[in-house]
This record gives sequence, structure tokens and C-alpha cells, in this order.
Amino acid sequence: MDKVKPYLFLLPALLFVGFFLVYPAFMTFSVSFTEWNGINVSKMVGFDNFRFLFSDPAFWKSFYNTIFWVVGSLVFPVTLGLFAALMLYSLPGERLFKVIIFMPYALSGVVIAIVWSYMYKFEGAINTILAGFIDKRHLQPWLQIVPINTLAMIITYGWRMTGTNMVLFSVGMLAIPDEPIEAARIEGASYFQILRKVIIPMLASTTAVVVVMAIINSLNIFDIIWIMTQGGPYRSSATLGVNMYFESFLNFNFGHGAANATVLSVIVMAASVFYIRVIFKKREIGS
Amino acid sequence: MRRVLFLALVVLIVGGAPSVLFAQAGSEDLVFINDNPPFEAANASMGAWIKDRIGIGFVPESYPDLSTYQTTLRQSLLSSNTAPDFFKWWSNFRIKPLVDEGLLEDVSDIWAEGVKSGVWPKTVSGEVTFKGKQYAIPYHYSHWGVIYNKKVFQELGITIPKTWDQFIAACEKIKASDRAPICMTLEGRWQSTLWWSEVIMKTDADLYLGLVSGKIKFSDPAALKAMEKWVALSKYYPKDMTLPWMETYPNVVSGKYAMTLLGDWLFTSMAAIGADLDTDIGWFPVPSITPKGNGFVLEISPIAIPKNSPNKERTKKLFREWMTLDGQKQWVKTFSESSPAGGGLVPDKAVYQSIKNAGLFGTKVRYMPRWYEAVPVPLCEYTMDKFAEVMLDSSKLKQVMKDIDDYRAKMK
Repeated sequence: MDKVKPYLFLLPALLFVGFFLVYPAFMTFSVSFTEWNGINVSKMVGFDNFRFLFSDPAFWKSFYNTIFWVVGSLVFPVTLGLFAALMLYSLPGERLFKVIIFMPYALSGVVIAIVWSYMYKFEGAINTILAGFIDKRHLQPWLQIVPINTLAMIITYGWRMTGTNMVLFSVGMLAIPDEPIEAARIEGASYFQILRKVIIPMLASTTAVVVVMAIINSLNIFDIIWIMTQGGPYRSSATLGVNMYFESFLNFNFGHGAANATVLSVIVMAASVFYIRVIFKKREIGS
Repeated sequence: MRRVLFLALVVLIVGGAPSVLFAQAGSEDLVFINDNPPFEAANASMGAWIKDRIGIGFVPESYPDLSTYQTTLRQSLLSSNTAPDFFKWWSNFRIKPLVDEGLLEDVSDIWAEGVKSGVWPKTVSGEVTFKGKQYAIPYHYSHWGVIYNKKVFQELGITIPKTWDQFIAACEKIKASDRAPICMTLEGRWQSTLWWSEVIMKTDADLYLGLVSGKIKFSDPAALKAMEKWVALSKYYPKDMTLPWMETYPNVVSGKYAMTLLGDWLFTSMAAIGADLDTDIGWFPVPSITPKGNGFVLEISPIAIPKNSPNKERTKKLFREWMTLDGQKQWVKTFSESSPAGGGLVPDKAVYQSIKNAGLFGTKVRYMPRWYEAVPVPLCEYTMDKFAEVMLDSSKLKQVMKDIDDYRAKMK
């Protein structure tokens, strides 16, 4: 009984994960080999859906946009989060500033997307501010201009996610012992030397976690894009997730959509495996 | 004991959930599923009117998001536990998959009664007829044309254009007054097909039908030449084409935009935001570009009964009443829309009289199916994005049309 007990405790979670994750994933994978519009009897078509996918310019456009998102999520919210954590460390009013920076994360992605989409409109707040600094002839409806529309959405996403990354880096900084920093100060190191040679190296494992989480989240991005541009104009800002939605729920071609989802899942799984390996490596170092 | 009560509550909620999605057999009012929240009050009024007549009424349930509506509705048709009593859909290629899978009730007998009584012209049933049988009845029946702001036209001294050159001259005048002559948005995507199809059918209606059927390629020289006039319209659109479409037509009412191309179902929405359909808003057909350009878009948005409808016979009775002359007169009065029944019914508003005066209820009118319904769904969705690409960069016209031809060739 003692040997069985741990498995009994695990069983509800396993059933939950099995029913809501493993089973749908398996079904999606099997649908990717069929021709099915959701209401007809599905027909096996082998690898036809994948052949179509890899020859579809829309798929490659969405693939490159996804890469753009991954890079953008690393450059913007991760570095800003690190910057915020470093700058606010031990600053008077640190808690208040951290709350303010974190607050966007508490808002729904849909709400943020709606608000920012209006800000980016030709007569929106962004252009109203820019009109004070640049020639009005350069003002644009930013979500209509390719590829600026993707960059605009990455900025929106970064505004939301910077706070989360800042919190993670702040936690990582709390784990840094004072002694190496004190020793560096005594040796005459400047603030930037301490930052570069002591603090940032000691944040390496936290940075790895933040980076991998940012990669996984950006690979899965959908709500902000769908609300702000619907992947348009002409699918120029669609990512793999948006492309999957298009094929499944606008074209009612669930085979194509499932093939797209399978490819996306493989990429996300690879990033997740890397993430888990980093976590376990961190725990090994910690222990 | 508490555990038993809790479990019983869970079973009650979960087991009862499907039955509250749509009305079940024995419920008093039928449930009409649709994607038109702005028409909720009008639908409720129509439902109450029919209930007074035959004791069978309906209540509307509206979905605001198009793709959610289409996905949810399609899946709901598969089971009698989830199928609605009746629902609003689109015609032609949009409804064909549902017909092909045997998910819709044959309502040919209702049509036959309507045609035999002389109320309905037979030609109207074309877009819901498959292999000689009809599977839906008309809900919206919309003539597409230019809806314009009368005050802007009066202010600029513009008269209703009768030729394409006059139309372009009007656009130039409006543009010079610092207004967007033509309302347009690419949000929602379907709007990119509107002026494209109108320009083609006003150049050569047979060219349009050839593109619809696939007999003529998009890269055909005659098609490309016709499209040049469509491309030339891009300078008359607003600079910002990212507005949600439901926020665009208020700009026509306010005069910020002068004109829009939509079906006459828009009048109800315009009236709802304060437009006077006699004095503020007008309508005219898009002028022909050549004598062969004699096509007019007619959009028939139908309502259908699922094969798995829980109240099939009661819904059929409701459909019969809907299709009577009195039913159509009530529809026209309630929705402020037109109907082809009884020789052509229009509300008593100047803007609707314009449609009738244009001779658009006659049997000699060359009605064209709307692009959205006229071609298979994947091709329509593909062209929506491709047309938008040309609207934003006209230099891509030839390449884009070749892309569409290639896509069509790959389609099964």
C-alpha cells in the first residue's frame, strides 16, 4: 500500500493532464494527417497537410514572424526587466516602482491589446505625441505598416511582460550573497564593474530561466496579435499560432491547422525541454 | 451527506448545461442563433409578432464575433442536444458544406408555396438551391450600392453620379475638401473584396462570373485591365484602414467619410445612431464603367433549420409565416430593410425608394452573387488578404493575381 500511495496522490493530476493536455495533443497530431472540415467524416491524407504547409508562403511568413517575436521578446521585455531590477535594487521607493512596473501584467491581454491598438491608430495617442516632435507627413497608422505593425505589437507585449521579468530578476538578485559584492567594492571596483563581473554572472541561472520562459511565451503568442491586427494586413503579422487559427477556424481546414499546431508544438517542446534542463541544472548547482 | 449533495449539484449543472444552450422540445419560444447583435431588438420584435399570429415565437441569441459564431454553430449542428431551432448563415458556397453533410432541413415545400402564391419570385431561391432543393429561406435580402452622406454632397454641390467618370470626379471633389471620399477598413478582411468585385462587374458582368467560376484567370489581361480602375480607387480610401468596421459607418453618418459600399442592411444600423434615412443618408448604384457592366450585387443572407433541430415542425410553421406577404411586410417594417416579396417591398424612406427607383426589383436585373459566398471558402479567405495587399501596394497587382491563380490551381 505504501508503494501505491504516491501514485494514488499523483492520479488526479495525471488524469487532469492526460484529459486536457495529452489527449487533445494526440488528437491534434492524428487530425494533422487527415482532411477534415469539422463536420464531415475525416479522410486520411498522409503527409499532404505537411507538404502543403511547407510549400505555403503564409506558413513561412508566420514562421519568420514568430522568430521576430522571439527575438523581440528577448531584446525588449527581458533586457528592460533586468534593467529595472538592477536600477530599482535598494532604491528608495523600490516597492512602489516595482508595483507600478508590474501592474500591466495584472491586466488581461485582450484589454491591453484593445487599448494599445487605439493608441497606434492614425489619430491615436502615439501620433498625437509624435506630432510634437516629427513632421506630420511621417505619421502613419502603425498597425497597417508592414513590418512596423509587428514591432508595435512586440512593444505592447513588452510593456506587459517587463514587470514579470523584473520580479524574476529581483528574486534572483536577492539570492546573491553580499560578500562577493563587498569584496569587489573593497578592491575598488566601480558600480559598472561590479555589475558586469559579479552581479550579472551570478544571475546567470535566473537569466536562463527568464530567457527560456520568454521564448516559450513568445512562441505561443496569439491574443495580442488577434485583437490588434488579426494577423493582417494580408497576414503580414501572423505568427504560427495565428496561422493555425486561420486554417482551422476561418478556412475550416482542421487538417492544415493541426499540421501547423504540430509544427508549433514541436518547437515549443524543444524550448520547454531546454527550460526544464536549465531548471534541474540550477537545482543541482543549488544542492 | 454533504459530499452526496455536492456531487448531485455537479451532475445537475453538467448534465443540464447542454439543454440550456439552445431551446429544447417543449420550450415555448424557439431560439434563433445569429451573429447580428445590432438586430437583436428587431429580431425580438419579429419573434413576438409571429407569436401573436400563429402562437409560435422566437427569441434571438446573438454572437458578436464572426469566427466564434461560425465555428460554434457548425459544431452545434451535429447533435440534437446542441443544435439550435434555426440560425442565420450565408448562402452559396458558405452554406454548401452544411448541405453536403446533410445537416440542413429541406424547405423546398415552403419555397414552393411561396412561389405558387405569387409572393416570391423563383429566381430569389438560387443561392440556397442545391440539386434542385432549397435548404434555407431569405433573412436579409440586400442590394449593394453606394450609401452616401447627403449633407456632404449638398455642401460640395455634387449630384448623384450616373457614370464612372462622374463618380471619380465626385471622389476628387470630396478628397479636395479634406475628407475620405470612400469609407474603407481592412480590419475584418472581407471589406477588401467589395470594391474589387463591384468594379469588375461594372466593367463586365460576364468577366466577374468568369472569375467566380474559374473559367477566367485573375491574371487574364482583360481582368488585369479592369482591376486597374479598382487599384486607382485606393487614393480615395482613408489613410487609416485599421478601424473595426462597425466604427467606420458612423464616420459616414458624421460626414468624416462621404460614401461607403455596403448592403442596404446598413440603414438600420445607421438609423440606430441617429441618421435620418430621408434627409441624411442617400443611396445610388455604382455606375457602370462599360455597357457590359450591368451586374448588381444581391446579398441573400438566409436562415435555416438544422436537421437535428429539436423543434423542427414548429420551426417550419414559423418559416411558412415568415415567407407570407404579411410576414415580409412585417419584416420590412421591423428591420427597415427591403424584400423581393410581393413585387418588391421597401420601407417608406427616401433612401429605400432610391433602390426601387433604380429598377433593382425587376426580373431583368443581372444579379451577381457576392464574392464572399460565390467562391469556395479557402479561395475567398485567400483573396481577401491578397486584395488587401494590392490595396496597400498597387505595384503588386500582377504578382498577386498570379499568386491567386496558383492558389486556385492547387485547391482540390
